[in-house]
Amino acid sequence: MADARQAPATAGIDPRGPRFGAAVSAVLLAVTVVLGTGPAATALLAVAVVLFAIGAARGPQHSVQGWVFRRWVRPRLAPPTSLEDPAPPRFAQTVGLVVTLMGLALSPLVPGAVPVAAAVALVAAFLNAAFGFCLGCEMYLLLQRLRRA
Amino acid sequence: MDLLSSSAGRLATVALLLAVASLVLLLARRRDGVLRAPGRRERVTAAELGRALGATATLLQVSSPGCATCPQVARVLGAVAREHRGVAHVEIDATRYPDLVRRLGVLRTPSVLLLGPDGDVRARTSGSMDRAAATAALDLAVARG
Repeated sequence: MADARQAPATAGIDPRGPRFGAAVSAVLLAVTVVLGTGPAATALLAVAVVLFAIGAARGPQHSVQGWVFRRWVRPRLAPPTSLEDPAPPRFAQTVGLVVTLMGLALSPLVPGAVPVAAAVALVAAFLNAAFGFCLGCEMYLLLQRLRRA
Repeated sequence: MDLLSSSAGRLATVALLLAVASLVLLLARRRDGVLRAPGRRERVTAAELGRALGATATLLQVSSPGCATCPQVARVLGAVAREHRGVAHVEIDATRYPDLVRRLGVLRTPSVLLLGPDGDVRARTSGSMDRAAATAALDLAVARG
């Protein structure tokens, strides 16, 4: 770039990491939805909440999936052609956390909240894993634009 | 709903939901890299950019921090510019040129504006752009003269 910022101010991350993480989340959330309501589904949703919380707090590269990616997946891949800013995918983890946490919090009153919350998070995780479309990232960038306006 | 009370029903609903979401995304992405004529006469000067324009054309790329596809588009446009005489690739950070970006109505990054030798906006695209689309855009703009 003219302003000499090929990589962001913090170290850039391999963009395939968050996509791998999204694939793992998608599988977990899909199983949660299929289980419907009940203790098993609620337990799986709680696992999703924990995974998103770690990703939101530490960034996608230091989430559980990020660790798996670095240790077992990335060594088998060619180096990335470019790095990406970890801030938008980290915000996406926060969005996932909010959605699944709401499902978990509402579940004693509304059992259907578990599969619904899992389904909402699943759509985002699936689109990210399958097409590289990060919904949370787009929200983050939109918020940045609005804040500047 | 009966459909949602069985796991098979839930599985089918999830599959349908994901299929619909995929379709919506793919339809939305078809606009990426598609050339659009500018809505009204616009011009970008070398002075505004602080960079020289190309003698024949300029591929002005508007990027932003956190834009995942911008580096890849920059690589493509840089290569295309090098292959064509008098064509410059200029990449700017939208956050550093807020007035210009607002005036040009750029809402997405990456956005690419094809400028003529005087900086008049000949065409624009948004979203990801591959080499074929970039070359086609350039040929079109240069042909229009």
